[in-house]
Amino acid sequence: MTEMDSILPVQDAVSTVWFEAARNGTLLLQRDPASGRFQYYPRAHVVGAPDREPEWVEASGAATLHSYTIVKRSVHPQFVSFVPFTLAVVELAEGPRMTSWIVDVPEEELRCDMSLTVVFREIHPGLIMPCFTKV
Amino acid sequence: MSSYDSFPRGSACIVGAYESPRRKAPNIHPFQIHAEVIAGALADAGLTIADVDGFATAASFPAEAGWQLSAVEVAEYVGLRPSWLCSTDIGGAMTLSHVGNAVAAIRAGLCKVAVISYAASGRSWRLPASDFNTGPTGPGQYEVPYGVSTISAYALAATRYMHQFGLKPEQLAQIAVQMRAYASRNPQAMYRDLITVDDVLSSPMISTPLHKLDCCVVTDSGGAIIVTSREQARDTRRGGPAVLGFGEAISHGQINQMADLTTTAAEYSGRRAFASAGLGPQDIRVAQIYDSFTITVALTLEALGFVKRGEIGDFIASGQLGPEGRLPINTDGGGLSSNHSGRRGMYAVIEAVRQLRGESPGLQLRSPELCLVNGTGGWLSATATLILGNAA
Repeated sequence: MTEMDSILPVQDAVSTVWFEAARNGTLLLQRDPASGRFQYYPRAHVVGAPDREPEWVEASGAATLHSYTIVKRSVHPQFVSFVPFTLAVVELAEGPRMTSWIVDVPEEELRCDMSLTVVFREIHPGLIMPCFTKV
Repeated sequence: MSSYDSFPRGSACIVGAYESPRRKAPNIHPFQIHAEVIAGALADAGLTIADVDGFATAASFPAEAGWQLSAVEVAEYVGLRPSWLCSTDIGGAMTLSHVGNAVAAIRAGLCKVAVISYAASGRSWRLPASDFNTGPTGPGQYEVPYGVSTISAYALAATRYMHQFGLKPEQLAQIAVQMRAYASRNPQAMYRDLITVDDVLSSPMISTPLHKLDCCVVTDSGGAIIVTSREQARDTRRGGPAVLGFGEAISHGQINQMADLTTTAAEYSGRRAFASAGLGPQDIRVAQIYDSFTITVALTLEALGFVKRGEIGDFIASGQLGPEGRLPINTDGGGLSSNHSGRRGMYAVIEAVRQLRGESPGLQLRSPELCLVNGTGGWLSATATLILGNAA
């Protein structure tokens, strides 16, 4: 296994649905049909309820910047060429948080809780993932 | 009330402790260090390997060189055939968990003398030691492609804490400065030259807001401790502090699953440890607090209840972690300056034992009766807390 391979998703029956949607410009979330609660990351079951199956829902794409860090140095060959890049935990309008990148926002404009919207970027060759930018 | 109330408080003691003097050990396999530190801890206790019937370790990180069944591999290498084996694997908090479980095992009659060891070539290991939180399968496939490293996960917590509570980079830097001051007294510390807040702030920015000197040292090292019943402790060479309280807790794997980036599971492990010891934060005057990064210390001290929520910045700025302060911590220089080979918990426990025996190589306080130890594993994922005390 090369170092590059070791960061690329190894998809399974659940995640294939999510990555396929991302490739087509859609951010999918899951919802518990019983409580209506959203969850991320995708799982085959509802968190804390292994006997219940969640349903897929298209996210609004609206989020706020819960926290961020500008990665200035990286020891990882896959990320050295991206430095500096902005890694973030965003809070989706539906509730769950997700790890992502902030793109096209100058460092000095970054503020916790600022409004964001989803965009889709090919972050590694052949891999399209949701990223976020300012509204 | 939690079930920790019936923890067998004070029923076992740490009667041997040994920290490897190694800091850079290229070409030394970590299993060799396991054997060295086990020999050191047994000699300290005046016991032999024939006395050992319990063993706890994990060697699953790349730089620890174990593969599957890592505890079994180390046991085989050293030549142990224990009747009790534990390999709870919660990152840097691991050793503290092993101590708590050893106390329970001894009380339950599963073993009489437990050895707990840890070793890693964090600095010199030749294989790429990935610090992504998990592999790119299952949950990791949604996070690993974004490149969340260990430091960036802690940096995310730091940014959020600073936003919510106004903590300043220079206050975080003061933690590193204080740890270096303690390390300057410790002949075995990795770095001993005094540093200033400006040195920290002008060191290379790695992942905002954390600079290079907000990060722990990276060493090749190891350590071991011996746990036995209080009765049997009387027959050892020097005895040692009793385990008065213990608690552990986990909160999340991926940083996006952390319910509140500004507090850690130490809120729960600490509460359990205090409950099991029948003590509270006000009783503790010295502590060993896991310092993988400066922010780890800040979040942990609040989670343990030593400081009110949001007030850690003032606590640090007013010198409360210093020799004359409310709570001197990491009296050997900590992970920030003395020793951190990947999991610091072992070294923190050893320093607590030394502190209570009156032989800290860094800052020795005058006759401390209690010392709290807190370990943090993963990406602020798991914590364990111990309260040790000199047996009355």
